[in-house]
Amino acid sequence: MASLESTRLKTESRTRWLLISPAMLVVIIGAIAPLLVIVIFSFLTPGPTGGVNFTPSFDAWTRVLFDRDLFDDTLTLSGTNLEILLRSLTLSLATTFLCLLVGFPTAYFIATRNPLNREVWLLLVTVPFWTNLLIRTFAIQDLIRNEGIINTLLLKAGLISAPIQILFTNFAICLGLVYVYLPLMILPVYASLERLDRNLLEAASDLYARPFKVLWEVIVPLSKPGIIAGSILVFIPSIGTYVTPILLGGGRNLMIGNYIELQFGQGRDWPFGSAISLTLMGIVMVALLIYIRHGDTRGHEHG
Amino acid sequence: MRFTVTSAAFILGLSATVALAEGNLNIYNWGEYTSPELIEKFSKTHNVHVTLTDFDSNDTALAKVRQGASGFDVVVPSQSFIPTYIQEGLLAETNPGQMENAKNLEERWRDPAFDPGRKYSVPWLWYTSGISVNTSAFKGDINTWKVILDPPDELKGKINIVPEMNDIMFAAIKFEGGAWCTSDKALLTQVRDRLVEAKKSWLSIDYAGIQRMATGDVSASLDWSGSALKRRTENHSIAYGLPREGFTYGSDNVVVLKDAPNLENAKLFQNFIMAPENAALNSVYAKYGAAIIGAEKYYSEDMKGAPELVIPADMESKGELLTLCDPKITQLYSRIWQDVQK
Amino acid sequence: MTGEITPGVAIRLKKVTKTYGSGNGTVAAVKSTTLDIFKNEFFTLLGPSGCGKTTLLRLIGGFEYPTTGTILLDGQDIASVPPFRRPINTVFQNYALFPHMTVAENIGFGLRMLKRSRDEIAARVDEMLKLVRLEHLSGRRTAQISGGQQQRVALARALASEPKVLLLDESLSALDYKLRKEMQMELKSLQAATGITFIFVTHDQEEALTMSDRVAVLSSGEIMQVGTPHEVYNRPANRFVANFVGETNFLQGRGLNPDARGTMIDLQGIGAVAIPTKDTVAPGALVNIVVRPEHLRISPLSQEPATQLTGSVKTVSFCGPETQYTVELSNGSGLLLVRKYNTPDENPSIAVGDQVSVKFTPNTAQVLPG
Repeated sequence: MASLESTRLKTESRTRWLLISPAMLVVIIGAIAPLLVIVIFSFLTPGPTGGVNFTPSFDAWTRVLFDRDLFDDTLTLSGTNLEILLRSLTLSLATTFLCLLVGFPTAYFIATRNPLNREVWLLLVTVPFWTNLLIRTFAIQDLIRNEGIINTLLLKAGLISAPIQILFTNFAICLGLVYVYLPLMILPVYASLERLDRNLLEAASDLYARPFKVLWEVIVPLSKPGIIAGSILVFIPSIGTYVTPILLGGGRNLMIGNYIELQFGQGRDWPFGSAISLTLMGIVMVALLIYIRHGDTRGHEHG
Repeated sequence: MRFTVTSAAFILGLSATVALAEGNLNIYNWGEYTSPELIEKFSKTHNVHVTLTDFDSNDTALAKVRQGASGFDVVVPSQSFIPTYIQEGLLAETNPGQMENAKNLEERWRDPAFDPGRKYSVPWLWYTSGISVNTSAFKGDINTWKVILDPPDELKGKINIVPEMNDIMFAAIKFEGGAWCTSDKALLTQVRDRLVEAKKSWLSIDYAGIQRMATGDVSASLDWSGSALKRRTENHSIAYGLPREGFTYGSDNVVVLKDAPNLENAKLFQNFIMAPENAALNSVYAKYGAAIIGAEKYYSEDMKGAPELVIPADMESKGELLTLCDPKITQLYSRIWQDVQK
Repeated sequence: MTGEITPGVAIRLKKVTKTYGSGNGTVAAVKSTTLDIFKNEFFTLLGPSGCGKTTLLRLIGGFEYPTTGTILLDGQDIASVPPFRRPINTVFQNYALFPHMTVAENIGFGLRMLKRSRDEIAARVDEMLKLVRLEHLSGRRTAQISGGQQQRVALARALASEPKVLLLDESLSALDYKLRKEMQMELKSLQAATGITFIFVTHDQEEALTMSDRVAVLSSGEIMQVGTPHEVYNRPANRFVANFVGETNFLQGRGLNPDARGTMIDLQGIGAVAIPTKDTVAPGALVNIVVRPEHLRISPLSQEPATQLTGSVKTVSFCGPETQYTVELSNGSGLLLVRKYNTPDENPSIAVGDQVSVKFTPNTAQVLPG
């Protein structure tokens, strides 16, 4: 019997490997191999007109944090890189926060509709996804530019005397990102709010919690997995965003995605581009770790 | 972004011709830069099936070609990149300078520094790099980089810069009185400070910014000749200025790749586009000047005598062909450019 | 708010109605209900599901507002006061413990919302943990404790802020039988110890009878009867109550002139039978005779079947302290349920198929209008 059992286990494990292998192949070819190329590139020197020279160097990595002075080769903490990184972080965190601010009440609203209406609302939330990102971004551009709809309306209403410069500001970038990524916040928050036991809200209210306290003490903590998942889903694409800073920020203020593109394009410094890409990846990974640490443990217990 | 002429030809009922095609020609060119009429005419004349693929920057094109086995026969890089193509041995020496139609080349483009004796390349279109200004917003002198680098109040916050590092670095270096590809650190410090200061008056650094001149959001922009011509047809108060501190001119050129699968057809194509009536098709389509004598006879009405398409005699000495600098210097320039954009 | 203080009354419902929906689709969950619930009382709302007992409880708790009528707490109208301003706490059917808090945090929640001092909360939580004997679990999360423990936490949480009234919504129904019995006792003693008015909702008549000082039996949004368990069980106000509370036999008949044997009823298909009841029955009136199974005596048929109930035994089931018989009446008018207490030395002398006679214990049968 023992040998039969072990044969069966062997067959099972072989089947499992066979089943997994296509996925593994995709992961290796599609993710690990290119990543490896990027890692290797980051330790080489730039080729004369793009590409790389196969001379090992830590220079690209040094330059992520430090600037070699233009003129005397001394190292100083890199103002440019830090500023771009900080801007990316600030803008993507602000985007995440604004998405939460708008997305949470929206998700709550949907979750408290009756089941039939909920589906309609959810469908409406996903409507923007039906259109290409570029087109949506151009639409926002048209909305907020000086002769755009918002300024024209405000001017006509006599609320302002000259158009407000909205386009090509950090605010415009934020607005665009919030618009584009809001559904990514609403959906996971909705999912955890929908699972929320209504009785808990009554229980809190019964125990002298005013409506705001009910929100703060019960609804928010219990929808934390959704809030964190939504924040991660918004934060990651925001920090790596490329199109929005160009179209809505006017390309004046680089975000890290544009900075990377610059290195692989006109900057002709692929190793440095690789090094910053990996830095960005590191940041994203830290964000994911926070998610795994804090998002997972609680909240699954009820329901 | 792949536009196959086959499908277009099919619709036009030319499938029989295509079926009888003696061969293929694969063209790798900038997007919206190739006249469909030109392709159709070439296709018909030489019984060749043409496939067109777009690229969006010289760097992208070079990277792709470098990998080898791209399958392309001809590529249309900017002239500043041609020396790199030649040095890296990517091109077939087709000697277009000796071809039948080479006699049509304009003097300026007959024996250029980037390809002495025209051993590899044939001009596609040529351009100058200058400034488009909405003269209803600014009535002053537009023949100076001052317009965008030390702008008057009426233009502040209304300026667009195209994100072309070489063009903007060239402008700033010339404005500060330096020579292109200089590594003079004192001068480059001035250049950087100038750009950082000027950026405060810029609205955007964006290719699409040029088009916003039509809506009035942008009143001045770094621009190219053909693009400036298009702007003027949309809005008659837009004028194009060539800065007297120094400006660049350049051209995009058809080269044949060493590993071209259809070498003979590629050569035919090089000769074909040097004919004035053919070169003019491209000009009319993209609104840039053809570097071919006699092409202007076939220009559309809006292009005939357009000031954007010529370099005035008094400016002739101020223009120079844009070249790529030494990699070390390019790196230095790109650091400055990044400092500006941060 | 106008006061209307009646000593001894904790909750007074006056003509309270609650309807859902509008137009033709209106559903009345609670029809005009008037009810007093006294201080320190263990009061139970009993009824089948959908009878409106939970709605009534939710109206008192403040989770629903009445369509019409007033609800007074100590003489104050609270009908439109939100739950977080009512000194009334609830033990929910599924306990509704906060899964993201520990046992102690759950118990202290109400006090924290009332902005009591940290020390006071800690002391009170300890006290409550002791009361429900869960001191050792104070740091656990609620998902890590058993159903019975969760029940006790819910109770402690609701009692921690010393409400005037405690509402319990089917609070024991999720527990298994033994635990439920235990908790019944515990609830009863807690109520006695705290002196708080308990309002308990259940569909389990046995639970209601065991625990309550008074019971209200509801059906279709209306109160059928309010009384002590004894009254409700032994003097049901109508057929519904008789049927719902405990098991009952119904016999239809018509009143005859009483004679020496007592009240005479012409039972359908049997004829005149003497019914030992205190109720008077008008001759000719259509009546229902209501008699509990344990108030019937069963014995092997010994004499002629005249003027007594006879039948054959269909089933015999031994249930420990008692044996239940179903007897098919010989006239075919239905089944009678008879319950007999067992004595240790008794042999099962009556078996399935036996012909038996069934007698009434004197003064136990009740006559309800037919």
